[in-house]
Order: sequence, then structure tokens, then C-alpha cells
Amino acid sequence: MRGTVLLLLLALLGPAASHAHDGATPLERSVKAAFLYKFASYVRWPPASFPTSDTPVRIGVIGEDQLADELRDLVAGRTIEGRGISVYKIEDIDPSAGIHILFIGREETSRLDDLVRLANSRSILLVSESEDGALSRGSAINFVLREGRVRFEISLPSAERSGIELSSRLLSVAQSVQTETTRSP
Amino acid sequence: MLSALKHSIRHKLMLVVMATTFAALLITAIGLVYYDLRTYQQAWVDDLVTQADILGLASAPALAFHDPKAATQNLELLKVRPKILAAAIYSADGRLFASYEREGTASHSIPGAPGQHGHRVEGNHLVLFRSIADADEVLGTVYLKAHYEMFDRFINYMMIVGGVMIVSLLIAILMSYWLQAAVTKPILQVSEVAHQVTAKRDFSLRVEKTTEDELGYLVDTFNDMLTEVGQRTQALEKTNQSLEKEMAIRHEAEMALLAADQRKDEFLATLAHELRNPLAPFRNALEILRIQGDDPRSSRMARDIMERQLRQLVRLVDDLLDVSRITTGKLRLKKETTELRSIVQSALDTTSSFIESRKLDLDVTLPEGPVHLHADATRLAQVLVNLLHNAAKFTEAGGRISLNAECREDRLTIYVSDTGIGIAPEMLPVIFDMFAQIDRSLERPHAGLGVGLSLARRLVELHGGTLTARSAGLGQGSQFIVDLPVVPSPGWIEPAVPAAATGDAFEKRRILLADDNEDFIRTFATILRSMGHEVHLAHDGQEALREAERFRPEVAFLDIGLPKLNGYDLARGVRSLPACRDTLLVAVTGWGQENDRKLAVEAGFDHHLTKPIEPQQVLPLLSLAPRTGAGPNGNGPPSFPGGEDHV
Repeated sequence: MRGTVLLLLLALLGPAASHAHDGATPLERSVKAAFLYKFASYVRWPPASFPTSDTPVRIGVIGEDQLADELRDLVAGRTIEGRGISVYKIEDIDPSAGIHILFIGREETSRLDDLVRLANSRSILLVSESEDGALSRGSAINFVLREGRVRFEISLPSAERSGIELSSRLLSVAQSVQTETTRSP
Repeated sequence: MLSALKHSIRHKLMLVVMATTFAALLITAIGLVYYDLRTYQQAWVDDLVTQADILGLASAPALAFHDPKAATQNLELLKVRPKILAAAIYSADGRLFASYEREGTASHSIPGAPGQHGHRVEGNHLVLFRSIADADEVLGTVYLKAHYEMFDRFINYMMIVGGVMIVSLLIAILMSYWLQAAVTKPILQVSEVAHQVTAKRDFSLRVEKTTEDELGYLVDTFNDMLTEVGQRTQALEKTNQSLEKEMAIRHEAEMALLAADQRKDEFLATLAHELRNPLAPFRNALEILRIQGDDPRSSRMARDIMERQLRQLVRLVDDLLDVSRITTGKLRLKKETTELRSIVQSALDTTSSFIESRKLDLDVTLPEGPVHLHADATRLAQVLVNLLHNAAKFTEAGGRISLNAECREDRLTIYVSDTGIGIAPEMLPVIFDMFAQIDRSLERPHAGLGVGLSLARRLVELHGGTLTARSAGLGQGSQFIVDLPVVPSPGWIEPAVPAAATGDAFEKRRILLADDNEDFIRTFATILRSMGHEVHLAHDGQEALREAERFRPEVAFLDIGLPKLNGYDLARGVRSLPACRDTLLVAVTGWGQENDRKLAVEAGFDHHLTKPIEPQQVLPLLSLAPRTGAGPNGNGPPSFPGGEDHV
């Protein structure tokens, strides 16, 4: 039932996304929340990221509380490969939190470089929504708007640096995939 | 077709082979096709499901991240599967997400919304809806539409099955022909031979044996059966033939019996006629005597008539008796050496009056000198009498009869010829048959019993001679030829038998007549008294004995069947009288048996006569009687013409 609601949101995304630059519309925020949840299925973390078999997939959200709330609603009761899903609103970087996916809101893009360093050391998938070269700065996945639709770009080198493997299936639906490093952090 | 099947094993065999082949092929084909089509369908469905799952798996991210373009690209990959005609992906909410149609094919309408999950056949197409799931979440539905070649395959299979069937049935036909050679040919041969045997009844036909199996056994058995039937038929035919032969013989015998019976019937009719004929003149004569008995001329004429008719009657009965004796083999000849002339004389004496009455000329020629025969003179005389009488009867007044005898070496030939009506050539062989009559009508002018010639021939044959007849034809007269053996060296010749009664040496005799027949005794007495003899009468035995004692007769005619005292006892009684010791005793009977004759001699009779008695028989006896009361009894063996019984 929740899936249906999610897809419904995705379908309604088109017209609402035109105001992206002025801050995310609720629909855009919902789509991105859904994508965040879905990415988990196409990503493989190193075994160390999940010390136990029931370690939940933790998704952290920085600078976008509303999205975090929506995401929390969305994942409630869902599992990925038998693991539960936890959503955290993150104010400061807590190295011990054991985050698997970290979304960086548009407002917090400035902190990206620090977070990249953290991500690389802790095997965290970094997802950003920046318009100005977030991938080259070290983000693995970056949301973009194309023709009013929420799409995403992927940087394989960034992912590799974090020790994360991205499914080729995910690559097949990406807006674009960077395979070579354009700039060293 | 069905009627042909009823009559031909060949067709039945062919039908069996073909039906078996066809049924086996059909069942096999149905099974195989069913299995193959099922397998095909299962495999095709499995293939499509796999394809759909692959598509779903590949398109899950596109659905998840809402990327129709990526999904369309995935669908485009189906180009490598030419049998998949169309495909589509629907989102979880049932909207068309991406679609694919194979180029170069007719437009396939892609459903606007996903249908019932699973596969189904729509005409020539197989349609499949399959849900796309990622983890435990349903992302959408895959739609595939593919060629479904079941029908084509079925058609192909049917063509293959048809081809196989045609080939197989051809093989079956060939096999049935082979079977016909092996199985039906012997049966057909048996059938053909059976048909021929029935039609021609030729049991020598055989069926050629070609196999050693049950059919060979059948052929052997059939042949054995033919042999058996043939033998039986032959035996039956033999029996039939012998039966037919027997039937023919019996039929012949029956015909002969019928002919003899007919001849006998005719003879009886003739006999009655002949016996009746003399009775009318007899009655007339009696009438004359009754009316004009006082007139000597009339009386004489009447007596003559009665005498002639009586003689005719006696002759008839004598002939009959002789025939009977010959037929039963009882006739015995009393042969002695005799002379031809006396025999001829005797015959002429008997027949001359008849020949004269017919106004015929008689010419007799005998050989010079005596001709001796070893024969029964009386019987030979009888033969000549018969022939002469016959000649006279069949010759018209004014004709001529000749009796001509010739003697050559040891044979005597007597020709009795006439100028009468002759004999037709076809009748010559049968005139000697018993009871033969040339003219069979009762009203014929020439009466007779038809026994005369037959009797004559038998008598001649008993003498070792032959009697034959000749005639140049009807109206040409006829000739009868008697051929007899002659005795070469004659011994003692017996003087001729006294010829008839002459009455020259007449002496008055005392005569006793004993008979219970009043008419006979009175007429007989009248005749004897008319001759001047003294006659006494007795009507029974005792009266006769008393009369004999008183009257002392010189001659006594005693009936054997007398009342009170029979003839034999009477004779002994008479003979025991002193006065009658030499009396000539003559037995008079109606029977001619040998026994009677012996009894008569034993009883003391000197002679024996059978009724009716004629004066000619009696007169010679009277002359033999001894003189009154003197001299011994002259018991010589006298011989009389006619009357005396020689049996």
C-alpha cells in the first residue's frame, strides 16, 4: 500500500518539480525520499558495515528534516534483504553512528567535502542534491531535475573510494555515470 | 464394398491388415502429437515466463526509479526473439510504462492495462502477463505476446501422419497381397476344386499342396475326402447299375408274364368259344330227333351231326390234356418199331371225312416199300392229323392238299402242303407258339385253340425230329415239313392195328353196363342194342353184381365211381363168380391217372377206358371177348386208336 502511494507521488512529480530552484517542492521531496530508500537495494556495502545479521540499514539525512520525516514514514515496516531500515536526522557528524546512506540537503552542500572524507573512511553512500559538481567533489549519487523529473547522476570513482559497489542495474537507470575522476578532492 | 467383403477372404484379409495398420498408426499419431504439442506448449510457456522474468528483473530499476526509457531499451532487446511479437511493461498502478512491437508485423494492440496474470492462448498467439517483483514488493507487470505455433505444428504433424499412413497402407496392401498368396491361395484353390467337383462330378480332381501349415493339412484332408467320396460314389453307381440291370431283367420277365397271361386270357376266351361251338348243332340235332324221331332220314342226319360235333369236342379236350401233359413233363411216348404206312392210314382215316366235307382234293404220295420208325404210332398219327386238319381248315373249297413222304438214308421227310391262305412271313416264327392265333378276333372264320401246331412240334421233337413251316406269303399256300429219323434195319413188324370197326366178324354178345349216369348208360345201351347185342343195365354196384350173377355177361363195362359198391370191389366180386371168370371186364372212368389203371388191373379188369366212350373204341373189344362161357380169357395186349389212356 505504501508502495502504491510512493509511485503515485512519483507520477505526480512532473508538474510540481518546476520550482526546484526555489527550494524543493513537497512532491520532489517525496520522490527523493523514495529514491533514497530504493538505492539501498542496489548497493553493496563491505561486510564490516553490517556486523550482525540484524543490523538495520541506517539512512542519515542532513539539512532536510521534512524529507527525513517523510522517509521515516515511508520505510516504516519495510525491510531490505531482511534488514530493518532506520532513519536519522543528523545535526553533526557522529562517526560512531554507523550510517550506511547519508543524504546531504541542498542547504548543507557546503559541508560536502568534510562528509566525503567521513564517507570514504566509513563506507557511507553519499547522496547530494547539488547543481554544481557535487560528484566531482566526492558525492556518489547526485539528484538532478531533468524535464521536470527527478533523475540522478552517479560517480563510480566516488563510490569506489567509499568501498561501496553500485549495481549495474542502478547504473542503467542513472541520468549519467561518471567513470573517471575529474578532480581530486 | 460390404457385399464384396462377404464373398472374398482376400478382401477381408486386406481389410484386416489395413484396419489394423490404420488403427495402430492413428492411435500412435494421436498419442505422439498430443504429447508433443503438450510438451511444446509447456516449453514455450516456460520460455516466455523466463523471458518475462528476465525482462522484469531488468526493468525493475527502471520501474523503481521511474525510467520508461530504460524499460523501453530493455524491451527493444526482444528483437533477437523473432517469435515475440509484442511486449509491454505496466507500472504497479496499472498504467502502461513501456511497450514494444516487433517491426514488420501487423500492428498488435497492446492492452491499456494488465490483464489476468498467467498465460493464455488467443488464436495463433500466446499471451502472458507476469508480475515484476523486487524483493517482496510488486513493481509492475510484464506483458508478452508471442507466436503460438501449435496450429501450424498440428498441421505439420497431420501432414506427416498422413504421409506415414499412406506409405503404411501401401505396405499393408502389399502385405495383404503376400498374405493372399500364402493364405488365401490354398483356400481359393480348395474352393475352386470343390466347385468343379460339384459341377462336373469328377472326383479325380485334387488340390495342389503348397504349404505345410494348417492350410496344407486342410488341403490334404480335402483331398482324402475327395478320394473317399469318389470311392463311395463309384460303389453307389455300381450298385445302381446292377439294380438297373436287375430292374430291366425283372421288367422283361414281367412283360413276358403279361404277354403269357394275355395269351392265356385269349386262350380261355377261345376255349370257351370252341367248347361252345359244337353245342349249338348238338341242340339242333336233339331238336330234330325230338320232332322227327320217327323219320329214319332225319334221325340219321341228327346222329351224324352229333357224332361230328362230339368228335370235335373230344379232340379239343384231348389236345388240351396233351398240352397239359407236355407242359408239366408228364407225357411219355410209348415207342415201338412201327411202319409209316399204317400211321398215315390212321391219320387219313381220322381226317378224310373232314377233308371231304371241305370239298378238297387230297393227294398222298408215300415211298416205295416199308419205312420203319421207332416211334409212338398214335402220337405220330396225331401229328399228321393235326397238320392235315390244319391244312384243310385254312384252304378254301376246291383247293388241294398233299401229303408227300420222302425217305433219304436215315431220315424221313413228310411234307403236308396246301393251296390255302398261306402265312405272312412275320408270322412264320410264332405260329408254333402255344396259344398262337394269327387272327385274334373271336369272330374269325378259322376257329381253333392255337395248340395244335405247338403240340405237333413238341411231339415231333420228342421223337427226335423237327417240324418247320414254309410259305411264300399270304394267299400262296403253306407247307409243313416233318423230319424224322428212320430205323435202318427193321426187325419184327407188327401187323397193322385193326383198322376201325368193320363189323364183318359180328357176333351177338351179352353185355352188362354199370353206370350211375342215366343218360350215358341209356345212349350207350341204345347204340349196343342197335348193333344187335343183348344189353343189361345196372345203376349201382350191388345191382350190377346181382345182374352179373344172373345174366352172366360176356363183356362188362363197369364204372369205377359206382354208388353202394365201387368199381374195383365190383370187379373182384364179378371175377369171383364162376360164371364170370372169363368175362371181359372193362373199367370206365372219368380219370386217367396211372393209379386208377393199376388199381383196375389189380381188381381184375382186362381193359380200361376213359369217358367219353365212342362206339369205335368199344367194337374191337367186343370182338376180343371170349365165346360164351368157354375158353380161357384172351388177355392179349390190344391196341386202340385214340381213346385209350397211355399215361
